[in-house]
Amino acid sequence: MPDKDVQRLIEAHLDQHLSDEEFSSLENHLASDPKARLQYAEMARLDAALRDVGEGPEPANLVTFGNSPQNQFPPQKWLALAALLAVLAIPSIFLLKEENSSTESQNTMAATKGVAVITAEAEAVWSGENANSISEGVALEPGMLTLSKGLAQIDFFGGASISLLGPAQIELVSRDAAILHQGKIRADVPPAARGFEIRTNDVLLEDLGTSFGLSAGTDDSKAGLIVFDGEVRATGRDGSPILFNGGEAARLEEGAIIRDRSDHLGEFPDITDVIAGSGTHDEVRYAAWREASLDRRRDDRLIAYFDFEGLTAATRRLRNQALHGMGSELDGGIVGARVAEGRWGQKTALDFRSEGDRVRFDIPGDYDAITLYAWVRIDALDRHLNSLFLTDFFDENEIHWQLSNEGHMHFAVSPMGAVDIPEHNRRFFSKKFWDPSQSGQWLLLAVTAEKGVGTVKFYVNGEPIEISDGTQMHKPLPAMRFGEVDLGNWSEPIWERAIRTLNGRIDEFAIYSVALPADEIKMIYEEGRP
Amino acid sequence: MTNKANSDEAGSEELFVQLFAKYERHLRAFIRSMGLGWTEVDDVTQTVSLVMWRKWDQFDPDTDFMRWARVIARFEVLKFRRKMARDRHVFQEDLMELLADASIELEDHVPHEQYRQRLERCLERLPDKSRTLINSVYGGDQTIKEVAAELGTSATALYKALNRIREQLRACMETRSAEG
Repeated sequence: MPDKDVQRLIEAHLDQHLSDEEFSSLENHLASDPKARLQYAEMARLDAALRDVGEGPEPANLVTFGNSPQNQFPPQKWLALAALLAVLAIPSIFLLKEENSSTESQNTMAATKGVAVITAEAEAVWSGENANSISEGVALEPGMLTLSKGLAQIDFFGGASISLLGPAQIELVSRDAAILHQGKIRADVPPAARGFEIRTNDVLLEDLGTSFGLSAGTDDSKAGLIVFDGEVRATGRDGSPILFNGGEAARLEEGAIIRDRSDHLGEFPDITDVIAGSGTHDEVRYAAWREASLDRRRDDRLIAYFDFEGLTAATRRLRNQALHGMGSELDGGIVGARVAEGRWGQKTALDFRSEGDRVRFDIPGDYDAITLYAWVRIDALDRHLNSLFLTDFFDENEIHWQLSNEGHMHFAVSPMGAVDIPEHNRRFFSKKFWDPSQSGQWLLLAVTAEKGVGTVKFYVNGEPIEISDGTQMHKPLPAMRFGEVDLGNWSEPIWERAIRTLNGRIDEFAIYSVALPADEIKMIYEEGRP
Repeated sequence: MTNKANSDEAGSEELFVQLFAKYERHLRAFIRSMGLGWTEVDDVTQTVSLVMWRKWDQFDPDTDFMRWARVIARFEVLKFRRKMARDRHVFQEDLMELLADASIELEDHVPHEQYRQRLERCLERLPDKSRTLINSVYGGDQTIKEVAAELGTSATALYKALNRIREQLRACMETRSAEG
């Protein structure tokens, strides 16, 4: 078993969320591999120590009191001792609760924040307490939404998107979960948002990367599930999950899931019917780009390629068009970002503006070399840093590509992730290339990087631009990773209040597993310039 | 820790309570390393404390308290294990023994106290957000699901984040041990 899998199983066992099958596999492996046992012991030790630290310092001081009442035992986890003292009837001693353990527990994160955003509405009428504050583009916090009639599309920050048909009542739980109390939804869950959970009052659906319809309500005859595409795991009251594949449907009756035909379920909302978008403009340039773009898909050096073509307000999946490689696994989930006009009237783009706007990807692998390029229309660089392509936590070897407030392009990778960041983070800043006079212009931005020293190169509109500054640039770049990553935003900042939403548009984006030479980047510019 | 304390009835009682308080977390960590969940660890630790108290007169205060505690704990864990249903994901007895050995081996390498101090230093180096997450998961009585709901994320995502942070900590602690 690869080390990484062993590690995952060990942690899942300690966290107590292993399946029976995984448990047997872990047990067999541990029995046969002394190294794995040390690994287990090490993680168990860390787990125990973290728990201790969470409870405050070691009880170094025992304070003896004349006659303390029993209820003054500290509400902590020295249970055994507390119980022992009770058994021994020694009320005279109790443990001093250190001051700082309580201050530490108050130091929790602000509890509420936006989890989803309404991205389109069609004759929607909201009711309920918060009805007035609900509108397109506003970040929604966890809570109940009541749609009396009409249609609405809600994008979850985790990447899943649902169309809701009123009358309906849905409770937003988190960026990856919701409860449908009543009504009908159609959910589209791109691979990056896999694990999205939606519950009715007594059935849990876990989406394994797919689209499905669900209806729920007081009237059981209309409660049901249909999977349009992909796979859904449904768990009813009896607790045993059932898998449903594309084309399969079920009735939901009092928490029981009964396989059935889909006839009784009727139509599911599809917002495409309501919203349309089109235009005509600058046909020659567009046609030239289009031809080159169709050709580009065949390049086997691409990890992924997104042409942003044919997007509508209902599109929630940004398709990877590269013909080789991982295909639709690398599709992005569009969250919040609105469809807008691209370089030409015929071309669609995504417009990034609000805090929630982003495209989510999950891109596995380590790469010795990469090229990233994007056609970007920068409207303003109003954040300290403005995202182009930012990995969630900037973990070990993960890359960050962004723009500074002053108009520099940044590229960074750290072999230690966020640990000891000043010492390890290799950061490269391009010469300043943008100022507000260029607001609204389409630019081709590109960066190439290779494992080793001095390999980062920046390009604007096909021309190389100098590196003007950075940190740890003399240290070699490691093989690079993406993992869970956002285009146009930063989902999981490692620093508090680090909002890096892009203010602008993107209408083409590519990731290569090689560092493209300057002449090819020049060519990409020539073929795609507006 | 002197014989004198042990010979005196009240003093002996106090010494036991003091030593047990001092080593309880250490003991719980040891029991945890044999693969039990925290609820089970709590139960077994309680039993162990009572057994130790019953046998307290057999303890030689000039020897290592923790070594003695481990012997009793091993025995009690295995006894406890026999009563547990298989579906609770407890390991086979011989594997539990091997894990206990592995745990002692690690401790010979880096003693408990030193390990804790290192961990605290490494925790300080974490970004605030990661530290807060660790605090919410380990510091309170909330389940992972509850913490996840509070932070507006899914349990799956939280587990992933935790794995990542623990990996960072582990890497940090390894660096520290290499530094000596």
